[in-house]
Amino acid sequence: MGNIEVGSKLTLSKAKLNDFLRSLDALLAAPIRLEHGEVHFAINPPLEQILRDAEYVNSTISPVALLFPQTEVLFNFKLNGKPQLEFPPPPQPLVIFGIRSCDVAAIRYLEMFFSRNFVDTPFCERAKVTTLISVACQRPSKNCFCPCCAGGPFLEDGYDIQLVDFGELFLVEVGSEKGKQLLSGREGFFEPAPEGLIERRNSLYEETLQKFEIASHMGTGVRKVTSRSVSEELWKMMAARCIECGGCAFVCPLCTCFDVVDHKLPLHSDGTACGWRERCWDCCQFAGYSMEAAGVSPRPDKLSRFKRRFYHKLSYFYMEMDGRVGCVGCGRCIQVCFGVVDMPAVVNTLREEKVFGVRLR
Amino acid sequence: MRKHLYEPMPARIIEVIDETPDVKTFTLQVEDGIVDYRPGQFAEVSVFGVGEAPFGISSSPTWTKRTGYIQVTVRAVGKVTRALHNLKVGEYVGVRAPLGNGFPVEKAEGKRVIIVGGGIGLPPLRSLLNYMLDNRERFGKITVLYGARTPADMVFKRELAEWSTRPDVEYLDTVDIADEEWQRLGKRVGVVTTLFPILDEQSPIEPHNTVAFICGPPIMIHFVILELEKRNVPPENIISTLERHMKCGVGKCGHCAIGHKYVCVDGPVFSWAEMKELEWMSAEKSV
Repeated sequence: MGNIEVGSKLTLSKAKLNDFLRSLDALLAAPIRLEHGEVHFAINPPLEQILRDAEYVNSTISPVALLFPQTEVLFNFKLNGKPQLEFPPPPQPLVIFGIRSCDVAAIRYLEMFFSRNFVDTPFCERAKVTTLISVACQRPSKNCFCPCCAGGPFLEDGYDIQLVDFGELFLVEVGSEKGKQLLSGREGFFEPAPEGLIERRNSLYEETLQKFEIASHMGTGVRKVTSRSVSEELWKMMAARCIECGGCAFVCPLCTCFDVVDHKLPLHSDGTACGWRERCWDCCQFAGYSMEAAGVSPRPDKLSRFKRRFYHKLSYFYMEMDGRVGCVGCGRCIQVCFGVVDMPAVVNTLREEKVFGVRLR
Repeated sequence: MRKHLYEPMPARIIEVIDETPDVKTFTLQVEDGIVDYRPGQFAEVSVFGVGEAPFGISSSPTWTKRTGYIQVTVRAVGKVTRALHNLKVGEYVGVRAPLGNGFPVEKAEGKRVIIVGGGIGLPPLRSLLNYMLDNRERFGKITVLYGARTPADMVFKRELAEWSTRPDVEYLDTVDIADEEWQRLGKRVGVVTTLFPILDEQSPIEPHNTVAFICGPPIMIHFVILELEKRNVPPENIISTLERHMKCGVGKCGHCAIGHKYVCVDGPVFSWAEMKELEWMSAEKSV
């Protein structure tokens, strides 16, 4: 295969995949199946364990956590006189193989969010050295609704490298400079895409769209929330079903809120105190989330916090800033929500104006 | 330039001033210095091992240019503030500053300025006032209205006395509950809004030539705005600050969000016109 450019369409034989992955000079994160069947992104797993078709359902925890982990050390400090700070080493290059379209869309959003106004050092440094090899979805789970949220199942833009599974081989679409860089020097693994494969890709896309079991009328949600035309009663009924577990925020690949915590070790005999500052995921549904020092909170009740979450995800004011609705349709909140007040359930409730409505099928 | 967004610069405590039984002013020498800031901007101050908290900078940029120091005035109410109160001169804290938008001082140029402070809300206004006094010719008549719970709760007492005697500042104060000394001197008792009728008598507000800056507890801000609206001061000329838990200070952690605004980067200073819009958008109030 000659020069590879952004926009190139190639093929990669599955027989060559392990060799290709082995050739990468980077940490490799890839999906494997755990003991009880769930899919998990592991760092440098044994190559033969890597899931490599479009048939597995997405991971329980989004691979977004590889770039924005649940907890991470911001810096270590040593106190004896003037404080000395020590920052984590710069991140190693990382390739995420097998990431789904929805999670790619989420990472693109996070890159925008974490670099606007101020550049969030830990996230942006990691994102800069990360290349995504996504696999277009052909097997939506029963909870997936990415077509409603510009989150998939295939990506038309925003990907570095997109693979489309054709059994024995992948169609390889090069979508960015980073993707091109990753393949450069590795041209030998690839062949030009044969005539007709793009048409087959497009019909595969159409077939996949037919497999989605649920839909979420995001536009209606946006309109209702932005125009404030949701009754207080409806909000109250939905908020009553929330048990404030924070599960939705923790599995949501677009949720970025975090808390910052200091830890201090017992004093060393020479009088030096050591410790670290870390950040960890936080959730706007927690009572302590907006709590101020004197114990006052601007969102003291569950109702106001519940509205807050869906205002952030659905209001047009946020869309205008973020360039997308605050959901990629990955369906993980459906999986974790005990109260059935996940995204499609809420949007459907806003639409039908009745609670306990069965999700739109 | 810091290499890491969340990196606090080491800052040595140069002086600790007891303002009230639970309020102290800390004079800090920040390593690498703080180049410039606007009155109303804030600093994230770290007590390493305890945490970080936001405080309005109480010194004026003009004073910082002269001394190289900045000041924050802190009431001990929570974990970080109590730990801060236990620190002594010569010990270190961390500082990330300046953050936030600050007061739109240029808006007040050539205008009558009314500064209304309540209790511990005075520190950022002190930054503003001292900045204005150092650039006195750029501003019109300056009026300071200060209210506190008790005389003991008044901060910057030495400066209050100075302002009250300066010919180029109109200074009025009041307390909710007087002590013996206060009574003996026959000084004013009542909430800060009771000072407005006095202004009507001695120096009436010309609404379109007036810019008001307010900082204090939310309930005080609310009633002061009502007084200013009654006197037809346009909403764009009523400037106040919003209090939220600004944890990261750079618009990332999410804690201080109101509607789609982040108090830490879009504020903490907002005009009453903006605040009304925010309330309209604020999720907890009106979705």
